[in-house]
Amino acid sequence: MRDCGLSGEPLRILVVALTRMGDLYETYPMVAALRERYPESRIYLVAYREFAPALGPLSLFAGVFPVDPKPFASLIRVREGPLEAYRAIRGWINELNALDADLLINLTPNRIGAILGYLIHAREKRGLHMTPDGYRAHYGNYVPYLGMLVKNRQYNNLNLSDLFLKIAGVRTPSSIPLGIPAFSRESVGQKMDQDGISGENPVISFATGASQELKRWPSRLFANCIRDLLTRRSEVHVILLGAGEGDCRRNRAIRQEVCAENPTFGHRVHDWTQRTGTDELFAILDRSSVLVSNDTGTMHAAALLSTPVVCLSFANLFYPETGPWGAGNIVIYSKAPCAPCAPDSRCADPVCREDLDPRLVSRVVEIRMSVPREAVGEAIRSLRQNLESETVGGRSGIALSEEDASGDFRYRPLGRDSMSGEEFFRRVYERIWKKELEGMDIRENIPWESVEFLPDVLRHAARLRQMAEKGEKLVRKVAACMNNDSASVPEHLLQDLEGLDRGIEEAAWVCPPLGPLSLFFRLEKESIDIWNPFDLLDLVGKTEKTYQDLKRRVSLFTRVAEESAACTAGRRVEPKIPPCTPDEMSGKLLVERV
Amino acid sequence: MVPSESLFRKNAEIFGSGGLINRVLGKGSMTDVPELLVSRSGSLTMKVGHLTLHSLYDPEREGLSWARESVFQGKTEGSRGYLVAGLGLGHHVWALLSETSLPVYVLETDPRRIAFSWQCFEWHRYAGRLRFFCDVVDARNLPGGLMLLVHAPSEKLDPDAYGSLRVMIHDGRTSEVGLRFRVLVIPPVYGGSYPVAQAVARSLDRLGHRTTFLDMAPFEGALRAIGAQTSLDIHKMQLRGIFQGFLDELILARVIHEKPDLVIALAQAPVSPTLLSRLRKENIPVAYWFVEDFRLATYWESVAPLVTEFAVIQKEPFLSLLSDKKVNHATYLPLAADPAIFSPCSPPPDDRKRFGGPVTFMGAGYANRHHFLKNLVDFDLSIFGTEWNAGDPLYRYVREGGRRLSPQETALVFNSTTVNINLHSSVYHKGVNPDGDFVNPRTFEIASCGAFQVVDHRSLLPDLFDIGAELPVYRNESECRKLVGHYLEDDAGRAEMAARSRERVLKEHTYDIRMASWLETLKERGVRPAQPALTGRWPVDRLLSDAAGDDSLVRFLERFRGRGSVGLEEIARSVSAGQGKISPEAATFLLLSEMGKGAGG
Repeated sequence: MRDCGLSGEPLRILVVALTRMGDLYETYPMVAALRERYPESRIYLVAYREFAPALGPLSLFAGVFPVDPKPFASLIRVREGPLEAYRAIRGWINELNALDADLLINLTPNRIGAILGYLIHAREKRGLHMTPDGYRAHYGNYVPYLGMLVKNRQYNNLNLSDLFLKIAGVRTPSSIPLGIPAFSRESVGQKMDQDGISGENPVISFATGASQELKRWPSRLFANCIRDLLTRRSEVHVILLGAGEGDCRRNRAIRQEVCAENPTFGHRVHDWTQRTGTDELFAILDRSSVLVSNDTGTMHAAALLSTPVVCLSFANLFYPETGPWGAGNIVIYSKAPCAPCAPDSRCADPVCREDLDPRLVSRVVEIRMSVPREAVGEAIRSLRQNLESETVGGRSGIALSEEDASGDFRYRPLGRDSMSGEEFFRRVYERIWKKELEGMDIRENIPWESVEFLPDVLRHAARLRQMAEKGEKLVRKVAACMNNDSASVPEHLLQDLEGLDRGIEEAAWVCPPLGPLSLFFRLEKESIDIWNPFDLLDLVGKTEKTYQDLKRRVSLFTRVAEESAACTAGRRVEPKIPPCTPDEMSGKLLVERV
Repeated sequence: MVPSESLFRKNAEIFGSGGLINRVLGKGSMTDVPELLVSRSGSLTMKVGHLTLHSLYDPEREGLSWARESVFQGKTEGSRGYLVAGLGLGHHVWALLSETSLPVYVLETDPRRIAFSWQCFEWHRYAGRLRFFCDVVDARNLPGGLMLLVHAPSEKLDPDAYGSLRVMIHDGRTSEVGLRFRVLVIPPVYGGSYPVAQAVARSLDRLGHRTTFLDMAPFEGALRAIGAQTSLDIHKMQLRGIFQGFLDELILARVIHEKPDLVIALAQAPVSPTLLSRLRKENIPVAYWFVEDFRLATYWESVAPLVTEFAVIQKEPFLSLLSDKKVNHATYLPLAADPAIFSPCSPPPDDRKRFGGPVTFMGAGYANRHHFLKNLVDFDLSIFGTEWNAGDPLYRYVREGGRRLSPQETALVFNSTTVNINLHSSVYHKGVNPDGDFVNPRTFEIASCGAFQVVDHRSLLPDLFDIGAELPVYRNESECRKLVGHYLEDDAGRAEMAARSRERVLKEHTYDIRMASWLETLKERGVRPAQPALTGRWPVDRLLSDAAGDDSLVRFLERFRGRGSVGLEEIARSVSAGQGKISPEAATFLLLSEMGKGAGG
C-alpha cells in the first residue's frame, strides 16, 4: 500500500466498525498504527451514531460517517414502500464511495458489515467482506481468526486490539495520540479543586456501571472495596464515574454505604456521575492512578491513556480477548466453572460476581499503585511478583498483561492458573498462529502442570491429520478428473469429501482443544473467493490448500504440545495413537470426550 | 344467457374495427381452447384446460364483487378510466360497466375468448366507452390516468403478455387492485379435518391467493403424550391448557411474521378464544370452517362469536342457534373433494389387491361402524382406517394394520373397490343415524374418483346430489345389503351412477368452488387485502412505477412481477448466495433488511 493516493492526495483509509463503544476504543491502537505507517493518511470511521459523541478525543479520525438503522426502518414503515429507505441507503453508500477510499478495513463481524464491505468501493480491502455471489470473504490472514475465536474463546489469548492491528496489517504503535481539549482538563482540575482533591492525592476512579445487569459487580462489594482502600490509604481519593439514571442511583447508594460506617470518608469519595462529558472523562482517567472497572467502554478508554486498569472479570467477559489493552493492566477473574458464560447468556443466578473478594480488589489496586504507571522491565517483574503472592487459593484469580516477544499484549494468569490445561492450549495456539499467520517462530517454554490428558488430545490430533491428508488426496483426484476432459467428477468423490469435512468438524466436538484448527479450516474453505464457474480449477487448487494448511497446522500443534509437555515433565511423552479404522477415516469418529 | 350469432354480429360491428374482427374470426391455435360451461347459477362460465376463468358456482356474483372492489379502489386513486387485462367470458367487465360511467378498455390476448364473449354479452350497449384489443402493444396508444385491473385467472394463462403490459404503462400512479389475498391456513394438529385443511390450502393456491399452510402436525406427538401422562381429566385439561397457551403464541408469532390478509382455521385447529380475541383486536380477519357436528363439538359457542366468518356444514337448527347467539356471520358451506387428489385411475394389479376388494369401508372405527359393518362381512369386506378396536372380532377385516392412509392411498382404495360403503359416523347409534344431516367428505371424494358408493341417508344429501340417479342411498342394514348385492352384479349401473356423481362433483362440489364462493362472501362482509402500508407489503406494480427512471432498480424489481404484493423480507430472501453476482441493488435491499431487523423494523 503506497503512501499517496492515485492523485497524489493523502491516502484515504475507511474503517468500518459497527460495534459497541468499547470495541470502537479497541480499534484505536490500529488507527494510531495506521497513521504511523501512513503519516499523511486521512482515516475515516463508519460507526453507529449513538456512539459518535464518545469519539471526541479520538483525534486521529479525519471524519466519522454515523449510521443509525432506526430511521431507515421507520422510513419503510411510514412510507408506502421501501424505495425511499432504499434511496436513503444508496445515497449514504454513494457518500462513502465518494470518498474513493484507497483502503477499506472492515471490522464489523456480522452480515451488515459483510454487505457494507461489498458495497463500499476501495482499491484494497482488509477484514470481513462478501464475495460477489453472496458468501463470506476474508481479506487478510487474521480475518478467519476473528470468526474462529467466537466459538473457541477459551483457546484464544490474543487481545482484540492486537487482532485489529493484525487485520489491518500494521504493528503496535509507539504512541496513542488523543485530543483532550485543554479546557476539559482545566474543567476537571477545577472540579477536583472544588472537591478537595490536590495534585498529590492519588485518584482511584471506579466505573461501576455496565451495559447489562449481569456484568455489574454488586454495589455493596464496590462499597466494601472502596472502604477498605480508603482505610488502608489515607491519601487516596475515589471518584465514582457513570452516566444515566441507573448509574446515578447506584453510585449514590455506594457512596452512602461507604460513608455510613465512616462519615469521614465522605470528603474522599466523590460522586461524579453525570458530571462529565467524554472529553472530561478522558481527562479524569488521565489524571487517575488506577481505574477499577466492570467490563465497560471506560476501561478501554483508560487503556488508550495508559492509565492502569484493574478489571473485574466475571459473567461473559473473557479477559484474554477483551481485557484492557496494553501492559501492566490487571484482571481479577472469577474461577466459577461456568465462567465465562456465553455472550447471550441470561443467567438468573450470577454467583460468579461474588467470587471477587473486595479486599483482594483493594489490595490489588494498592499493589498497582506501587509501580510506575508505565509498567515495563523491572516494574512489570516487580508487579508480577507482588501479585503472585495474592493468588493463593480462593475463588478468583489474577492475570497481568505483559508485552510478549512479538509486541503483542497478552494476559497471563498468575499462580497455579498459569499452568492450567486451558492456559496451556492458549499458549500452544499462540505459537501456532504466530508461526502460521505471521511467520514468527516462538520458542519460549509453556509452563504446564499435568500431562495426563495430552495423550488423548494427541490421538485425536493424529486422526485429524489423517483426515486432512485424505482430503488433500481426494481433492487431487477431483482435479485430475477435471483436467481429463473425458472424465466427469464421480459423485462418490464429492460425497467422500463432504463426509470428511463432517468428520473434521466432529473432531472438534469430541476434542475441544482441536476446535480452533477445525473451525479455521472450515472458515478458510467457505471463504474461497472464487465464484466464476470458469475458474473451477483455481477453486480446486485453493481447496486443496485448505487441507494442506490443516495438515500442517495439526502437525505443528502436535509438535508444540509434545515439546512443551516434555519440557515440563522432563521426559518425552509418547502418545499412543492406534491406526484409524475405516469408519474413522471416513470421518465417523467415536464419541469420546477429553 | 345463450350464445347468439346475431349478438356476435352486433358486437363485431361496433368493436371489430381496426382489424380486430379478423383476429376474432381467425382459427386460432389448437391449444388452450376455451370451453363454455353452465354454472350452478345457470349462467355461462368459461374454462381453459384445468383453469376456470370464472366461478363455476355463481360467476355473475363473483364479477359484481370484483367490479365493486375495483371501482372502490378507482375512486380512491382518482382514476380516469379502467384498463382491464383479461376478459375471460366477460362477467367482471360487464359488472364493471354497470358500476362505473368511466371508459373501460379491455385487453384479451386470446381472440377466441373475445369471440365467445361477443356471443354472450350485449357489449354494444356500452358503445362509446368500451373498447377491446388483442395486442399488448396497443396499450401504448391508450390515454393516461387509467387504473389497471388484472383478471388474475387470465394472467395465469399468459403471464408474459401481462408482464409486458405492466412495463408499458408509465402514466402517473397506475395501480393495481390486489384482489388476491395472502392467507394463512391453520389446520388441526391431527384428525379428520387435517386433510380438509390441506385441500383448502391447495385450492386457495390454485385460485391465485398467496397461501401458507401452518402445519401443526409436528405437535401431534406432544399433544398425545400429554394425554398419556395422567388419567385424571382435570390434570389433562390443565396440561392441555398450558400447551394451548404455547400454541397460541406460536400461531401469533407466525401471524405477525406472515402478515396475512386472512386467517382460515379449520375445526379443531388450536386457536383458543384468547388467541381469537387477540387477532380480532389486531383487526386480522379470521374465517373459521366448522366441519363438525355442532351437537357433539360444542366449542363453537366460544369460537363463533370471535371470528369474522363462521362457515358450517349443517343448516337448521344450527343456523338459528348461531343467530340466537348474535352470530350473524355464519354461512352454510358443505364439504367437497379435491379432484387433484381424488380422481379416476386404474391402479396396477398389486395396488388393487393391496388396497381394494369387492366391498370396502374406508374411515375411522366409530361405534356405529363396528356394529353396522358386521352385517356385510359375507360380501368379502375390507376395512381401512384408524381406531378400530383390535379386541373386536371385526378387526380381522381391518387391513394395513389399521394405520392412517394418506389421501393418495385413500384414492387408491376408492378406485380399487367395486362397492365403497359410505356410513357416516355416530358415537351413539348402532348403524345409520336417522337424523343425520351434514354430508361427509368421503361422499364427495368417492364420487370425484368416479368410483361407486352406497351411502347412508342424510337430510342435506338431496340438495347436493340427485338421489337414485347420482347416488344410491340406504337407511338401514337391510337396504344396504340389497344395494350392495345388486350393484356387485350390475357393472353398467355402477359405472353410470359413478360417472354422474363425478360430473356433479366437478361441476358443483370441489374445494375450488367452495373457496371461491366463501371468499366472495368474505368480500361482501368487507374482508379484502389489507392496505400494504399496514402489512409491510407493497403492490409490485407500484414499486416498479416508483422505480421508473432507475433502470437497474427496475430490472431488479422485475422478478417480483406476478406476485401482486411483496414485502421487504421477501425481497431480501430472493437474493440467494451462489446464484451469480449480486447486484448493488440486491445488496442494498439485503442491507436494508438486516438494518430493519436490528432496528426492530
